[in-house]
Amino acid sequence: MTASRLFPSTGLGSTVFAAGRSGVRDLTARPRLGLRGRGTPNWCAAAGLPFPAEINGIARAGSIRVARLGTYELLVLSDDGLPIAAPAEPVPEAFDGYRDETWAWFRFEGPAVANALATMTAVDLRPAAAPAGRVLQTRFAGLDVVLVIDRRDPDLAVDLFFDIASVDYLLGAISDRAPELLTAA
Amino acid sequence: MADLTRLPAPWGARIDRTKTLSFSFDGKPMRGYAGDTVASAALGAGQWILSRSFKYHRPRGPLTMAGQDANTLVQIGSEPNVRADRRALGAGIAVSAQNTSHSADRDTNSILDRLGRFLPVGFYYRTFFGPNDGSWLKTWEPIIRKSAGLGVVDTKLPEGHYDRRNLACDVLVVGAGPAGMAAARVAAAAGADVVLLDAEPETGGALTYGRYDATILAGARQGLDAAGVRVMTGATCNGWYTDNFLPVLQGETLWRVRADQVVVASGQQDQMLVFRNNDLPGIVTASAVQRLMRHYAVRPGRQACVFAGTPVGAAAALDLKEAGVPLAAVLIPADASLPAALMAQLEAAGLPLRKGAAVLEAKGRRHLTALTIATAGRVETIACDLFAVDAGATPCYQLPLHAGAKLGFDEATRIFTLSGQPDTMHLAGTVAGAHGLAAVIRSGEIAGAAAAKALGHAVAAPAPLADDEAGAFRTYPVPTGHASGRDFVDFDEDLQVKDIVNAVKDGYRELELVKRYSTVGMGPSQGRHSALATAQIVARETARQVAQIGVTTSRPPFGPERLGLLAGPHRSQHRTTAMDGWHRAAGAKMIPAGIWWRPLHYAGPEASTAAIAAKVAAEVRSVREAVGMLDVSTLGKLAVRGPDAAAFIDRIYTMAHAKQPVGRVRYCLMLNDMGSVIDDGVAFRIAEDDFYITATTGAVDRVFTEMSFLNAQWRMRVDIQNITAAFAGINLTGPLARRVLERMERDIDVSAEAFRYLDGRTGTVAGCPVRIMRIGFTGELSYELHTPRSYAPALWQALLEAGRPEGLSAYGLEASRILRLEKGHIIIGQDTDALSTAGELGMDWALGKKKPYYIGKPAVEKRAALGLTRSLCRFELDVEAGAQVGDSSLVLRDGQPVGFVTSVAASPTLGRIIGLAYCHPEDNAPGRSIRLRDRTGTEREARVVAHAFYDPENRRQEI
Repeated sequence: MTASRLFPSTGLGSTVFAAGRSGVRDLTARPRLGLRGRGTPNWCAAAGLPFPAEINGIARAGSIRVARLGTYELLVLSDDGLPIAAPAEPVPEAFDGYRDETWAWFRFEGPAVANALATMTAVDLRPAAAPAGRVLQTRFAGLDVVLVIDRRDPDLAVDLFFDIASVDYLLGAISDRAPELLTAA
Repeated sequence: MADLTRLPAPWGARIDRTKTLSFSFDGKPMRGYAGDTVASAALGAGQWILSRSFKYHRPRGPLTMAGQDANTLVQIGSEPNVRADRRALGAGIAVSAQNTSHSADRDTNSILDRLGRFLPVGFYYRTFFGPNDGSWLKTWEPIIRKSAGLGVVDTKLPEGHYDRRNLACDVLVVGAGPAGMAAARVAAAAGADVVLLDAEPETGGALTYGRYDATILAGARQGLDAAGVRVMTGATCNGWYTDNFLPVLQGETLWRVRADQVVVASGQQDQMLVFRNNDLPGIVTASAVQRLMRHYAVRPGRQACVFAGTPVGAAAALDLKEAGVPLAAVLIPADASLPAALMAQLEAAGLPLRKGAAVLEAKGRRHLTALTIATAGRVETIACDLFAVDAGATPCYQLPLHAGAKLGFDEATRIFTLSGQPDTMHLAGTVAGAHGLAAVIRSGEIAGAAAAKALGHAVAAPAPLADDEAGAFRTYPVPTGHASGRDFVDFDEDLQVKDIVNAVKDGYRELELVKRYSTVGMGPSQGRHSALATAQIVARETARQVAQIGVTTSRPPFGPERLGLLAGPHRSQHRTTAMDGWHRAAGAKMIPAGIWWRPLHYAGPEASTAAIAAKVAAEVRSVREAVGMLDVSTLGKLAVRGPDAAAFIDRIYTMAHAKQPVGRVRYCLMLNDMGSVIDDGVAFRIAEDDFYITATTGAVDRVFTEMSFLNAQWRMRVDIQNITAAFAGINLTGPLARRVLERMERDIDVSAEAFRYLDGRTGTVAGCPVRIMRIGFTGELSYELHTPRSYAPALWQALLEAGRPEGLSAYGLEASRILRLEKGHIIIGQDTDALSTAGELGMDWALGKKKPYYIGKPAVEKRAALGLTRSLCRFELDVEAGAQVGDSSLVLRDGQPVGFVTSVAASPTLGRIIGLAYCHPEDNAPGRSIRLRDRTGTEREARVVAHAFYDPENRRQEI
């Protein structure tokens, strides 16, 4: 028997917005994992995934995005919702970062997103400073977060990873500062 | 009917005469136009007195019409201290004067103006101490609080809403006058991302009200559009902070701007001429007259005099002539050096020039009626109701000074100069010392090019232009004080020349001291118009140069800012556990525990005190007699993994962990370098290289930071991660706890033999991956189940169902605190303070004696050699005797305090009051007693008991 997992109830949908609409989707239930430790390059090699060349850079392999958060820290994302296959054998010093349990995953998309995010984070989101494929580790509405710039064309699409225990707080903060993001359909 | 207070079009570029707006001033109905400010509308309606002065309650009218003075502060509805010359007129608003007994026109407190001789500078400091010790608080402070101050705060206002937005740009240009517009245009054309801002509602600065060809302004605006400059109007840059962080206020929004380069084109601050009664309504700066006419079409007077100290004043005189305002005199001071062409223009216009004139006095009670001037030894009095004063200006130096620029003083022109600003800040326009329009625009182009070049853009810097008019711009000296006074240096604080002179005579020679003694520059306009005059007086009185005096330290904010803007949209951070929804649905009273919400009890959020007590007692009984469970997800959790994990935590904690067997759980005690206890928890060795460690809810972030810091120094092969949110924790506790688990699908043997006290196991329970530790805080048989957060609701529900036959119920934090107290356990932070040692807590057993090192060990040994001065004891009292003993109640010995109570509660299990307290070490022995002073002041004798009130032999937790 395997128990069903339950992620925080945000009331936000996870389906893609219609063109021209801006909003936030909750992708917390989507597969992802974190990796830490000196063995992370070996883990990627064993899993057939690329290891990003630079910290705060991203490497892609099909529908898998590998974001490098530190020298030996990775966030691996599944964009198609399929599970991420781990190497058959444990890799020494490649530790689970529990990112599927510690971080919620919100995705902001649409033409109004850049302005809306500026109400919550001081990080420079202009194209030159935050091109597609860039990871930004910063503060967002008072929380430590990771922002992954997924796409800029035609509109900005940003994945936000933040403390999963603070989902209720962040929803409140968004409703205070950029309520328009919560009403997109 | 013709509007006699307004000039015909094209005067009044900002107003829409087709849209009339009604409003009231001090209850009197008035009308203005859309596009008016409150001040221009009031003036347009003939209301010149807008406020009363701070100390003498003298009538005051607009001075600069640029939001730079305190004269226009009014109350609008519930909002105090509104700058009437900045605030747009709204339909139906109720405007009232501030700091007055009745109204702007009638203020009985103006009697104070006749008592000025009894209120000399510094009289506050000399008067309000007496006659008795309590006079200040009982007598003077209430009087001053009632009579001083500005507007009235409405404490019943509903919450306001304020926005806070971040904005990053390559170049921020502060000031959208001709220099700022040029800078923005050039920088943007070179490829920079440029934001241009101005406090005015439109771009243009002096081009909008000065005597300039309209095509210049149109061309400049077109240039901005073509270059793609982002323009923010009605926006005030209120300070400069390190790394070009600049707060900008715009309406209800606080913009937090981060710019790579900053161009300051903030313009200049008009200076007031000092003469007797220079504060009368009707005396305004020359540029204010131009703003009134060109922006709002206000006819500023029926007969005017102009002091043309620089070309600005001369231009204002020509404007007045063109507007049809009769000019009684245009005063050209002896020191003025107006360009010959301009002088010729004045003469050609037939204006009544008075060359070499000095102003001696203004006359009038509520409004200017006449000026007394001296010209070449001749004194004459000229009737007028408007005096436009152009006594020069100082650069608007605040932002550069915030950034570390140095202020100098040009003795020839008597104008402050700026230098030494950071490389990323560029000055342009009058703030940079340029005055002629061509030179101003060119200085902006140079600044914009420099900013773009610093960003790496290829741009050629244009050559500077000679500023032929520069010598014509200057300021004027402050005369010695008028014998009858009322020659104001600082309008905000009603300070006259003699006040500054007397401050120096009283021994305050340095400007910072003069400021504090006299309060000069401490009013709403923050010395914009008083700093130079004060510096001149202090220089003269101390026989120094103005450059040696300077101005007082300039700090943000540049202008007034509403506290709501600083507070912004504020929402306290909080965290919730995976079972939060269940707790609330089950009727829990939730309380904040640090940043988390936790259930206090399940009696219901609105339950009575008696019902709560009964419910908490029932929750305690449930644990003691059957089984209960507590959501302990908020416990801090750390993953310490890697080949050196055991050696690492062996250094961090006091007990021995290096050889801790896999599958065992060990208590952890953490000290600081002082040997004081800072945290505790347990370490579960999951594998040789994998420890799962708990920490207290409030301290886990600190512990994690400390561990990470030490690991960076020690360079051990260990990975440390704070996984508090990743795992939920459920403490299943009570004599029937094992039965509950036995009933669940699992792959872990939970029998007493296979799963002993302080064992740890991993596996699955009810399909949930778990880490289980046989530990507890209650003294009962306990299993602490930790599961990944997303599984926690399922595990919680499965436990409830499996435990139903055993009477399993959830209990809250209050019951948990009682259960732990019955068992005599301490809570770090509640029963410890910054000096608590393991010895004081009776926890020497937790100190690894054979270990060569752990954090705090050297201090522990040194402090142990000093002996104990206090000790944490367990005490008990009968219920009645202990009813008023509370946390922090004093422990007395021979009448002297020797300690205090740290925890106390009524024990439902024992039927007694039990608690922990620091006492004299000799008294901490079973059978002895300590003396407590309860909340009523009554001293109570409490019995000291052994280390636990309940099950001291630890039989129940180890079954």
